[in-house]
Amino acid sequence: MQKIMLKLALVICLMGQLFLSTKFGTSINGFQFLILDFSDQFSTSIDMTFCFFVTLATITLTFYSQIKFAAFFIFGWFLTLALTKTILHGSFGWEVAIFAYAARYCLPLCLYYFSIEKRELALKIAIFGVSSTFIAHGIEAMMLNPIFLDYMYDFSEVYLNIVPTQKYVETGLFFIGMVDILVGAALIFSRNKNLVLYIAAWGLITALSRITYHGYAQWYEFFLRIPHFALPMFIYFNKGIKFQPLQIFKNKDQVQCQS
Amino acid sequence: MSKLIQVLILLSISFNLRAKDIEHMRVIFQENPSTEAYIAWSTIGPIPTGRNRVYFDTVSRDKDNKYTQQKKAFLQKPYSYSFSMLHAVKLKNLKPNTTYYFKIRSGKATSREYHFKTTPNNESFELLFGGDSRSDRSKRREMNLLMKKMLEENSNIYALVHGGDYIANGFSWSQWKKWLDDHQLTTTDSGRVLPIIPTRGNHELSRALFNDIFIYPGNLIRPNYYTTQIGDFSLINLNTNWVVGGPQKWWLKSELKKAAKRSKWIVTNYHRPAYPAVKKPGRAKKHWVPLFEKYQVDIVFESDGHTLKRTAPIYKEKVNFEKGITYVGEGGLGVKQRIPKHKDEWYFQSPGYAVSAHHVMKLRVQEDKMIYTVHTEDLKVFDRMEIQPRNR
Repeated sequence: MQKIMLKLALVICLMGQLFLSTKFGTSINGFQFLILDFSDQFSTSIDMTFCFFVTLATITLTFYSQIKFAAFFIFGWFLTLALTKTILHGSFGWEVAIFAYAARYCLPLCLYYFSIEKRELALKIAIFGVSSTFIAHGIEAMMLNPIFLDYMYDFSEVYLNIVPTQKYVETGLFFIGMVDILVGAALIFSRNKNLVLYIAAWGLITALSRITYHGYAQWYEFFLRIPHFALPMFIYFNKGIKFQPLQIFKNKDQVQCQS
Repeated sequence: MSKLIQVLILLSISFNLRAKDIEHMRVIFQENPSTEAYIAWSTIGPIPTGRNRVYFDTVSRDKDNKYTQQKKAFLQKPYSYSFSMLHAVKLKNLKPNTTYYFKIRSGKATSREYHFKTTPNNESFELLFGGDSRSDRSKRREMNLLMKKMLEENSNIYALVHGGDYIANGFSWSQWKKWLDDHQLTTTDSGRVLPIIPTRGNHELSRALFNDIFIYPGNLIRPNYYTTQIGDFSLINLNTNWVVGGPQKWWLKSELKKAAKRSKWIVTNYHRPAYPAVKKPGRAKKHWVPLFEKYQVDIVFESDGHTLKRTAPIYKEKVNFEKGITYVGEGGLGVKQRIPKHKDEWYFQSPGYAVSAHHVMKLRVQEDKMIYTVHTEDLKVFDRMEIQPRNR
């Protein structure tokens, strides 16, 4: 069941990302075009070629989740998207993009290691992905990411029928950011049931906020954030797997695992 | 004799050094370009001792230096993330449609004489529009020289409305420095300066350097969104890099309401497009487009996409030649041009288009109509559109 959940999450996430990439281009395209000085046509061709192979890798991983190359190919693609976003400096939070995208690039690895019965490693990857994503988004929130502020204004006006003051919204977002950082950091130390469920619920709510804000036309924004919900749920289902706290980043041989 | 020559050489070297002390001179128009202007410049090292001020007059005083007015720098501080010093003067109570000649004195260095024209209140005038001058420096310099030529040939051009993305990394002083150096190329040989009406783009990132360079447009209360009022022409400059809904939307609504009463022409300008040729639509589409339609904005300038575009007139997501609003621009002042991905979208149907071309746009504002033209690198007119006054 967990494998199906991870596969489903990966397929949904990649549907969103691939739609976004083919329709509007990616940061890899921007990097090739503006930094490497490739022609627009060539950059787009490379972008589309990657999209094609990522689609193939996703199909492969959906049916044969033990194929390492497919998992690492998707991982590499998502990681490169984050890295090029950092290099291009064009969007708010570029400094932490590499961590903000962690749930997305950790998902295929998590699925792969779970499929080959390396469950503790899969869990560690999931924890890293979720913690990094939460902490990075928390930092962005504390830096008052204008997009997040817009979501809050919109939510208050449309759904609560309250016109909030700027101070109220900014303080609120700052507080949310602080909570995100604390929760993300706490996950490294503890897999408390309530903590993990809170993270999953918040991941889903924030992903859904893209639909409530932009409308159904931007469904892909919701789709590509599905790992923010699926990975915490994976952690929830595997919270019984024990390893010493703070050792999630160490070599697996150093870790006392007990599945 | 040899001592005299040595002294003369030393004097000449020191004069050259001093002359180079004043860098990055720029004139910035913000809310009232008919009566107010900012003059800013840079010096290297600590604040020069002595006078840091601008001497100005309505006639040239280049020969006798007997300027009748002077203004002390109100802002002197290091630019963020740099060792260079920023100096800025705000000239107030200027006369509309008047040429002001000025010299900058910073410490012992004195600049050459420059001049600019304040905008008129009731006569026709022209503004240049363009955005995205990052990443391709040689092209940026070419485009600046092109604007210089336009300024030399047309005394009715008053300013450049820059749509944002001046440089690639808004934190980098070295990139800003190059941009400011290149901007000097827009100054004509006679010393006529092309004032800037600034807009924030996504690559300007944090508030600090952009605000240092353009002297806090919109002040701290309205982070980089403000209205430039020229007679009965309202140019509403918005910030797509900040909260687009909430306070900015509320401000835009009240501003459009006021503009609909006081102005014949309403033009908006911002960076991230609502109807893009390349990227996905920005948040402006959700929050601002309904207001543009309600208050019947005349034309909207956008940047960011690195293409040249003009949409068909759009009203409520359909082409409407009576009530529709045309969205133009996308940025071509010195950035590699992209192939427009969305050129087949419904909003680019005739008379709309989306192509790859470096360009600068010009808006001529007259009593009875506005004339929009697009000029490509060869200075040829690529597109022309007449805009009639709306019944609001």
